[in-house]
Amino acid sequence: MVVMTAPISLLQQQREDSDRRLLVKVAARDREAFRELYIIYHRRLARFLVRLTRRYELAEEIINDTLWVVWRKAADFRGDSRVSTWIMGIAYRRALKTLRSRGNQALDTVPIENEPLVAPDELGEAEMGEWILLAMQQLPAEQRLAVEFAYGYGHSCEEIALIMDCPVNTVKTRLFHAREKLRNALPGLAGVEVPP
Amino acid sequence: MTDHERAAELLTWQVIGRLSGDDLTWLSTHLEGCAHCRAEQRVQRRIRDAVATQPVVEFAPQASFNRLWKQIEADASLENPHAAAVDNTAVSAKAPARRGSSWLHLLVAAQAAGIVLLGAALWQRQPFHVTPDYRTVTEQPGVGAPVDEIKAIFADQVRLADVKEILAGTNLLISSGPNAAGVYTLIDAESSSSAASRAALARLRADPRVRFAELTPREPADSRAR
Repeated sequence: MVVMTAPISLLQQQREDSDRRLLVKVAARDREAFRELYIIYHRRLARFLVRLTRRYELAEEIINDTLWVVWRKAADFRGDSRVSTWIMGIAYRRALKTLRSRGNQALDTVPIENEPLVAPDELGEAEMGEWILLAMQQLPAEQRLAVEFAYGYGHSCEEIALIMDCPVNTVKTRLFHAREKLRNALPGLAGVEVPP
Repeated sequence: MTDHERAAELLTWQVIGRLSGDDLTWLSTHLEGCAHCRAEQRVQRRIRDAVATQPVVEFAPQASFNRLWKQIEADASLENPHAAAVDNTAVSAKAPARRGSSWLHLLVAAQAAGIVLLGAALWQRQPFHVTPDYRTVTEQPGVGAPVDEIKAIFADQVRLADVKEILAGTNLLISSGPNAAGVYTLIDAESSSSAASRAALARLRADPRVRFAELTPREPADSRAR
């Protein structure tokens, strides 16, 4: 099934325009523009990298490796995708490379007391959010990242396929399995009894 | 694929505002008559809201940028020994032509001569193995201005919101951590004075949410090398 993807929102378009202006300046070796782009993407990348690596200093290292590549390759950006998709793709590859070089530990799922994670029935909104993030740690890294890129960053299926360098159907499959596992871990997630 | 399965797939893109056209029309119609998929919509909105939250503990991006910029300058020096460093100001497309001017060549030559003389002087004063005054992106922090560090372990039941509150109350930032033992390395956000570090340490120790806090005074890099 080919999903009809909506264009990005006005806010996202403004962000994209700003990113492109900065990237053009970065390609011309403008330090201040690079600093501005760095601060913006440091915050954006930190969110998923901290969750992926579970270590602040490692996330920091991957962020700097990523932005270092951006500095070197800014002139090569052809504009075929959004700037955020391009940078996110670099970060994704740097993260996998770094984690694999360190023995895959952070790519593994986190067993919680060796039991399947199931949330209590009654949870407040804040607790529910924390449980969702905890349950996500039990997902395989590829599923976890697909969830991050879609729900967390608002990337379309095609953009996620670009970031993760995989077919669109693979993205859909990863999201399908991720949703199933999250739903099973959090039976009260919908707020009502879900019919079979 | 059943209607429920199709709706579940489309809902992912609907809840993030990336669904349009016939798919959006079909889904809207389906949702009106399907309580099951409306529940699924609530599930996906909750996932979206949870995933979109930022980690509560913030980084210090300016300090990280400064480290990366040092690395970039070091790389630039290696790749182009004739360039003293990457320009620190905005560089226009015409900049390379300006760099070719003779007065600038003289200035660079004078700088290079100064660097050589300074290097020779330092070489005579330093032991054979000298800690370099730069660090690569992947090195651990440690070289640089003397800054007191506080090693802290938070109580098990402490949440990220508590950590943020504790840091705000003590004017501290997380420099690194947690390590495998759960130890955070904290530094003063604004002051490098020992008095400020000791005051922050006292506030940490008085906080029941902090299980352990210890001050680790840092020595300047050159004093460690000797």
